[in-house]
Amino acid sequence: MGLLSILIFLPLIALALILVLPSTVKASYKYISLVFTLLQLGISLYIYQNFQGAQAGVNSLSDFQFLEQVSWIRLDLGSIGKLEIDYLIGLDGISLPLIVLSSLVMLMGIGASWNMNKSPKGYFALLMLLNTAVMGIFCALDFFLFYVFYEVMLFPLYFLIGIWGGERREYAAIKFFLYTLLGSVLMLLVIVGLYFSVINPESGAHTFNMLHMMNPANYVEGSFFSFIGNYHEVFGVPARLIGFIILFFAFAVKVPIVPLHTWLPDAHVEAPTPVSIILAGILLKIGGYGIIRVCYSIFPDMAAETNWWLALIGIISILYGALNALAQKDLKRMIAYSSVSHMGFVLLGIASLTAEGLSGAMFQMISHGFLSAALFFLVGVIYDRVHDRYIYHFRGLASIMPKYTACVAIVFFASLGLPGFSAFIGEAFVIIGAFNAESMATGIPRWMAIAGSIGIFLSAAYFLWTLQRMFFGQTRLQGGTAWQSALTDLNRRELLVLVPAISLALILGIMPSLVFGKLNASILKLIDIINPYL
Amino acid sequence: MHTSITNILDQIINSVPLLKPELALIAGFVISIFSSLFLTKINKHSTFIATLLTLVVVGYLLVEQLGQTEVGFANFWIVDPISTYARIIITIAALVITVFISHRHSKNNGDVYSILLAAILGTHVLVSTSNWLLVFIGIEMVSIASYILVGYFSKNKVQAEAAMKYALFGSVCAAIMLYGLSLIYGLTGELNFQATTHLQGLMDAPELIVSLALLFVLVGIGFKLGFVPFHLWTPDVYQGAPTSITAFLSTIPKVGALILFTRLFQAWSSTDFYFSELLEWYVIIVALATMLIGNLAALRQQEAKRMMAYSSIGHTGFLLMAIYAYQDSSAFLFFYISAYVLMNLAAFLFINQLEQQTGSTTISSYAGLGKKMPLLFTAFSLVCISLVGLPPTIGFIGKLMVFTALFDFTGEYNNTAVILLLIVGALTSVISLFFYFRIPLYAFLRKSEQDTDQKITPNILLCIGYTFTVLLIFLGLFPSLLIDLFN
Amino acid sequence: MAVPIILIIVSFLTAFYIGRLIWKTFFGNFRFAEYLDREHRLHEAPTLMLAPMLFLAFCCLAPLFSLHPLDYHSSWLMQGLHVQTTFPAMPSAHLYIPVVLTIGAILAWLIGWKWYIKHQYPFSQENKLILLANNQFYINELNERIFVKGIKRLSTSLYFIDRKVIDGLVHLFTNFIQSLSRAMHWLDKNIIDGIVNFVASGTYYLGHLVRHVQNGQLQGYLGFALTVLILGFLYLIIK
Repeated sequence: MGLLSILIFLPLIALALILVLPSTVKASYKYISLVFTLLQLGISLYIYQNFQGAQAGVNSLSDFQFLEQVSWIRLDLGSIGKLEIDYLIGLDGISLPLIVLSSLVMLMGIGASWNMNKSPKGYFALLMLLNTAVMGIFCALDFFLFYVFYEVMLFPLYFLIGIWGGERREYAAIKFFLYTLLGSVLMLLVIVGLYFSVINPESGAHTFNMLHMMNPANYVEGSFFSFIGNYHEVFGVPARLIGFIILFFAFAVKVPIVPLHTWLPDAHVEAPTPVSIILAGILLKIGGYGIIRVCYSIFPDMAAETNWWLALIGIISILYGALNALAQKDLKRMIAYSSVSHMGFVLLGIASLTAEGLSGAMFQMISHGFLSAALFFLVGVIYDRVHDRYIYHFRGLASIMPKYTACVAIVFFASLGLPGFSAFIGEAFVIIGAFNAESMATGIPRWMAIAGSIGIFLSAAYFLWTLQRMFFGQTRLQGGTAWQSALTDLNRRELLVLVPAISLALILGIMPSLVFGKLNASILKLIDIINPYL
Repeated sequence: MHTSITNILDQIINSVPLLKPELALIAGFVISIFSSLFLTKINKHSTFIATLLTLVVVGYLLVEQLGQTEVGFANFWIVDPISTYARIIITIAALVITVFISHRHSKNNGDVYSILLAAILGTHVLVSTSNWLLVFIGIEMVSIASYILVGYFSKNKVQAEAAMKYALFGSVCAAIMLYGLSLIYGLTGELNFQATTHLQGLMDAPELIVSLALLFVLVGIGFKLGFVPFHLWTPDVYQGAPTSITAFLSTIPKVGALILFTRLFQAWSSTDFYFSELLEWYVIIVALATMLIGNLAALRQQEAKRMMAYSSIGHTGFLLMAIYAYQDSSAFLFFYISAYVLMNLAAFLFINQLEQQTGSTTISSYAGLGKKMPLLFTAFSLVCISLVGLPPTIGFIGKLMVFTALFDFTGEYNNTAVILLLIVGALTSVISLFFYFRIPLYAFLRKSEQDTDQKITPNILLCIGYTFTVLLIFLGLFPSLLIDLFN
Repeated sequence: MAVPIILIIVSFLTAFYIGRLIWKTFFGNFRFAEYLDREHRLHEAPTLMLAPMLFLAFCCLAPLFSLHPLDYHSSWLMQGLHVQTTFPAMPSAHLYIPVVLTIGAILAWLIGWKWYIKHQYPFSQENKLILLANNQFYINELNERIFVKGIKRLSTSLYFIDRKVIDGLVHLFTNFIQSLSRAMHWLDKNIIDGIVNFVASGTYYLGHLVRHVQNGQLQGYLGFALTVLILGFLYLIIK
């Protein structure tokens, strides 16, 4: 049992504990969750400390760290061959930052659910299950294992949104589930296709090992997804392209890109605050991570071929999300759309195929991870107090909630990409990457970089406008004096959740090397893989 | 015609050991009739115990037959791994259903057991033969037994109507099939569909008649399997029949018909002649239509049993896909069948428990019960997840293996049919999520209108249900344990 | 070459007005006596002020910088400020420029002594140049009129442009962005989400259609099944 396995399955122990304990001690559930998530954070920080940034990983198994490989399923299917599935987990520079982020955001989520009174047993149990699934996704290197974690993640989310959500929770929950499932069942077909196209060079059997899938030498000649001389077509589209598109589609739903994003505002708005935090902070990153780990690493040729379109989608997401955010009157919905916009930068950065762009995309994911978590938490604060999030119902909050206003202002400024904060580094790197792409001949025109910067401008517009509308001016509240007394300033628990996120945004803004140092080698390796196909 | 009578007798006598499990069934059948007539007064559980013992003995005899590949009674009777595995699955399912019936209908149930045994004998015939005559006998044995089972406990008009519909629809289908069989026999002069003379006869015959005969024969199999367009009886009958019988209908006869169809498809699809292609196309179209219609129609169902009927139609479509992709190894087919049986039995066990608790099988009656019966509904939700085919359950592995088999199928990747099957197979599982998840939706997400403060008393059926649920997950994580049994 | 000469002339002028200051303040008649009333006494400055003054005065003395009056190199200040220049230094300049300056300064003082102490002031008060000099050559007025007022006027007009034209454009842009965002929101809600919901409800409706056959009538079922059968058969015939 390696450290990563402990990290992944620790929440399951918490889950078992929570389920076993009778509901007479229901106050203990949150403490159990807290202790286990803290433990997880400790482990992930330990892993971070001991991670060798120089080892690239990506497509060579030996370069992965904290590697664990146990043969799991060996099915003999006669003439179809043997199904070879391993329990294979490991970390490289791409997954490590996300692991640390996940454990941190999970902790924020637990902190945000401190006052959860509605059937806490199920709530914390599902949260722990979700935690396991999320950790598993980022660690899995076997496609089957990855898929299992990927799907297992959906059930707790369905129930978390569906049971503890807002008014239209049923709609939001099933919409979210169906959307993701649509992507993932099609992904399953591609996984099966890849399985048949790839052979484990050591055992000669077909394999689900993702790293074997990244090596062109392992492809069976003439197989469906074979690298060289692939003449297979599905409805006139080359097989590898269609495989890439389907995988991209599956992950793009998660990112989400326009026009596959419509589950997001609904899910975010209806979900309870902690779930919104986890959704925005971790789950959107699975999309970006999947694109890097799966689409780009396994289909580098198609990545090089399609990056113009991907960048275009990124640009559309940035602008479209920002414009939509500007039109929102519900604060949570506005932040949900801002997520769409910010995740567009991730896609643009990935598609730029430059070291700056890809590092920027990774950095943007990390930065957006805790910034959006902080944003949703801040929305949760006023929603908890007055059960209203309508922007125009609040005015002049600054005078009655000064600490809260300060936090909101800092997080808003950090999110809109003020230099000195993490989002600036991420967005700047993405735009630099996109700008340099033309000179690197990766096929991304300069105007895309410019369009991306318009997105930053728009994000400044909606954040500052909201700040002005809600916090400044004469205090005027929809709910009158009742609200005035209800809207107390941040308490210690809330500050305890927020301060780490804000300080992290600042620390990473000043010392981006904390992240870049660990992921640089992997990014360069990934670009080396894709470069020959440009 | 030179085979002397002694030779024939020798052969028959030599073949008798192959029939051991069936002979045990027949004996059990007789014993249970006897016991229900005379012993019930002494011990009201006597018939139940006799049936259980019979099934255990049958199971033991079947295990003995494992690995055996023999043909007896002049090619009438086949004992091979396919038939043995199928019969073992059937026997296990029958055990559960016997317990189910005894628990659910503890009074006046004497004859049910003997009829159940007769139905099982019928499925044994179906899975162990390639002879049209025996096929027909098998189908009729299962059908007639099923008609009786559906109507046996009928208390109200709906249940009687269901039994009547089932019988009428079944007889029409049987008649059509018989007509098709007579055409085939007339064209080939041979009743064994695996024999070369049979195939030769079909090839020589006029295409029109062969097409007609083929269609007619498939009507009978279609009725038993419940694929489109012969699926129409299923929802009404599943809903009308007592839950224990519905559990029986959705599993045991299906397995029998499925194995029969596999044999038929295997024998006929591998030839180079036109009707192979015809049959392949027939299977593809029927599989597509069955998956789509089954899953789409289930979207609107308000009744759990009716929904399960459509769900089983959908699964039949998926199984047809598996049959289409069938190659030399039957492992994945049996894996899917056992997964299907396991899931369906578990689902019906839970539906039955809820029926006893709330007196209703409508999904809306589950509203808010998740809080009161968390364990039951968690297990039920897991069964639903497995029915959708999501990891980490056995349903997912089954689906994955069918996809795998289909993908590998003949290596022709430009085969539009294969791609269509794959895509529809994948999309229907998305659709199916919607209706399967209505159960957890109502149970956990909705609030209940009335305050039922009933406690569920743990009983053996529920224990079996929970065991099955654990198995669903466990075998989903370690499928090798199950699939290695079929190799 | 012009710069050193101008600097030298300026030094003369400095010497002159410092000389004038000294002659006028400390020599001649005490003309201020009549303005003094009894309460205001003329007295020595307080020590607090005197001390720094003395210190500063002391610091002005040459030996403080260099004990060698002729060699500027020996000054610690120059040593401290020693810079490498690209042009060659002219050591002799350090000799004759101070000499010229000293002579010039003495001359200037002599002129001042003659003008202010001997009252042999050569210019009349009405002299144009004197007036000009008294008014600082009217530079302040020029500055006020041309620059201050002009810029004020310019800024007013620019402010007007800013408010009406540029801000107008900004507002136009803002309004444009806002209406664009509203349009996008509408698009998102009705078209994109609409498509998603349409697909969902379409599928759901399809379920309704498919279910339609299931009317509970056995004859219907058989009719349906057999119709499909016959259609299939017909297809096989005409194929």
